[in-house]
Amino acid sequence: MKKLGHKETKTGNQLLILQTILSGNGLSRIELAEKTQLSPSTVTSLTADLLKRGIIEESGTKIITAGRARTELTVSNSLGYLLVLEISHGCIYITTLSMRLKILSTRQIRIRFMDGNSIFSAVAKEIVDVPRAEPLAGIGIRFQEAVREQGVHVMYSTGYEAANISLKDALKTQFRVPVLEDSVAAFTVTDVIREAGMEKRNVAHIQLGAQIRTVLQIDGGTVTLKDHFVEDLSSMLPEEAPSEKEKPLVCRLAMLLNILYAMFRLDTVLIAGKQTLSECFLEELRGCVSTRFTQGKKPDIVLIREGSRERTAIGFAARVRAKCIQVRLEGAV
Amino acid sequence: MLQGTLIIIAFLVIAALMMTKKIPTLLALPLMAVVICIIAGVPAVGVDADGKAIGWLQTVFEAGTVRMGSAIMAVIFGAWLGQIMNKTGITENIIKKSAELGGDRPLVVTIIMVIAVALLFTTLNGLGSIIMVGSIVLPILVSVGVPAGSAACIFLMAFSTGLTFNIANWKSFSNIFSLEMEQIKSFEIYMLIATLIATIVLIIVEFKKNGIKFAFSAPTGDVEESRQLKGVTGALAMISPLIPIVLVAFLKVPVCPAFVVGIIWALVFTSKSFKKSMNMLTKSCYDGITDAGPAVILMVGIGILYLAVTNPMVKEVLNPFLLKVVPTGRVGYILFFALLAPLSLYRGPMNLFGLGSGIAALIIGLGTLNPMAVMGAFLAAERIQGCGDPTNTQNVWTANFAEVDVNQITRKLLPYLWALAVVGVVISAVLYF
Repeated sequence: MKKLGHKETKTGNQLLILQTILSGNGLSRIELAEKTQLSPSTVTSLTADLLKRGIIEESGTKIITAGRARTELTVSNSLGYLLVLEISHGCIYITTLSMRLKILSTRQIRIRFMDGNSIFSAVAKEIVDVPRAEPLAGIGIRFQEAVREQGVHVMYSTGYEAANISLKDALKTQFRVPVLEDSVAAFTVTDVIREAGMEKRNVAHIQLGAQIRTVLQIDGGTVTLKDHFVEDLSSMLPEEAPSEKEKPLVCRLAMLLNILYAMFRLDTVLIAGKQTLSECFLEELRGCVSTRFTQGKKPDIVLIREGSRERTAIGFAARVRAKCIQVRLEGAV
Repeated sequence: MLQGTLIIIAFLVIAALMMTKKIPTLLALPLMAVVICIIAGVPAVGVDADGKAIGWLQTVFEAGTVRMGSAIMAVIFGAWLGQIMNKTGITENIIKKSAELGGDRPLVVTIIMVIAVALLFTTLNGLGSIIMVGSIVLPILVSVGVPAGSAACIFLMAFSTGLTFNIANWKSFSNIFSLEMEQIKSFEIYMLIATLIATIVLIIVEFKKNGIKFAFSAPTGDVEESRQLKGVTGALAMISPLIPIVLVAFLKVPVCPAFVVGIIWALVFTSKSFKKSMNMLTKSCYDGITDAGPAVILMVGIGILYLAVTNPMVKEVLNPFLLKVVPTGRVGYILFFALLAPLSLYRGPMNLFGLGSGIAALIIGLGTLNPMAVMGAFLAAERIQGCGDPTNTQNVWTANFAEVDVNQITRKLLPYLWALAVVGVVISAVLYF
């Protein structure tokens, strides 16, 4: 087993403290010690270093209880701001957030030709043209599936020689900040489960789109199903509000749930998809499931609308922020 | 005589246009080829007495596009494997595991990083891979106390060391010099050893000059745990870059099948599911072709220029000039090519990925020098171009990332690279005269 050096242990513990601070909403040192299982003196020493480096700050909330004042620690806004880009065909949605994940601004830029250089120029212009007190700390790029499939490349030229690099590499090279990328669909799945507070439950998330995509979370861990349980059911998806067309889809879904339940004892099933999926569709699915689950417990079926752009931007920004802080601690972009 | 003078003027004008960034290399090479043919009086369209096409449109332009066909395919298959290594986390894991091996000894960390980077660039190609590797390696080097400027130079030298044994490059050289891959390998082995020694000398000099500021170990925590390769399968996956080299260099397997074996090997030992592997295979192929794009179009130009300068009518015009200039004796050869080696910078006439490919073909065509000696001279000069040329995308990117001036990298590396080129020319003179 590899032995950890002093610095690695320190960095590891600081990351643990930071992750705890990021997951909570303002924690005191003593609460941090309880949650991280580190000794209070270690927490005090490590947080002092983080305070000195400007990564965290005392939020100033001092609640006087019976004993000493309670000082909350939060991530420092002075670390910079985050940019989350959602890239779809013909349009880029830019959300700017503080390190505390407060939305500072949102902007929509229409681009006629969706080539990498145009996207890069538009994003660079946005960063350079809007002066901010804090520096840029990190960028998150969320591609809509079709755009991601095609790949977005930017030309890097020295005048003599040129090469195509990814948008992620171009932004990382230009702004020297961590850049994370993901597809909108892949991100939404894990985000919804996390936001619904279902980490500890057996949850199936079924995304209806051009394909039906199933992600399972069993006992807090993600289970990868063979081929993601992907089936092309696009022909069965309703274009409009509930109709007879939905019935074959409902039956297939009920059958799928039956198989999944037999294998994983699901507590909850989250169904997400087109906005046109109605409550009526849900009722029909519940009815169909009831007839199949004749014995014992049956899973709760919840219809979720795809999150608003701002909400998912905040969720993704949390990941970008975690990466930024890790980079700040470890030094690698 | 007039034709020869005009061709040399055209060459100088096009070289000047290229060096002043007026026209890109990919345009300069076919343009040079066409201009040479027109001046030498090669007809655009025509047939000889046997009905065989002799026009430059057919024999130079059309035929030239596929002249480097096998090298183009080697670059594409190599880039495909490179993409798979990047996407499956093999590249990242090789670097991070190497950094762990170095522990808290900066010199050891640096040398192991050099070996890891060299190993990776025996297979990887393209700026995307430079960014992938450089954005991990450079911060590690800086974190162990190597100043950014020195780290950039060490990284580029390590890259150049690996490039010596890049089999896709061997295939390109094999096409340019019309030699067997085995002959290229026999010389590149010496260049590999010499480049590695030069890199180690550079490291020692830089360490002595700068001192070691910090003595703690490099941070090695994985950013994305899911990409961590563990256990026996992880270890097997990490030898993926060695598979094609072993197959080509020792088992004489052709280049493209060797890369395919490497691709399958990497996929098998990193595979999570069949469907995912198939998606990865397809996506990495497309991305690999994108990565290889600049090299492919350059090779099309090289192929066209090669056929232009080897056209009998052109050779007839240029040979009297070259016979006066190109040395035939061993000492003359060493002096001539050792002094001219820096002309591989700024896309100069010794640059094999520029007009140098045409000049090499012309010199071989003279028949006064052993083709192996010409290969040795140009591959020695290629050492300077590979990581010293400030017009390379890899040099500009590395300089930007390390926040140093790109010309400062060239200035710092030139003494080492020139010495390396001289050693290469001397080895070539000893071996091939």
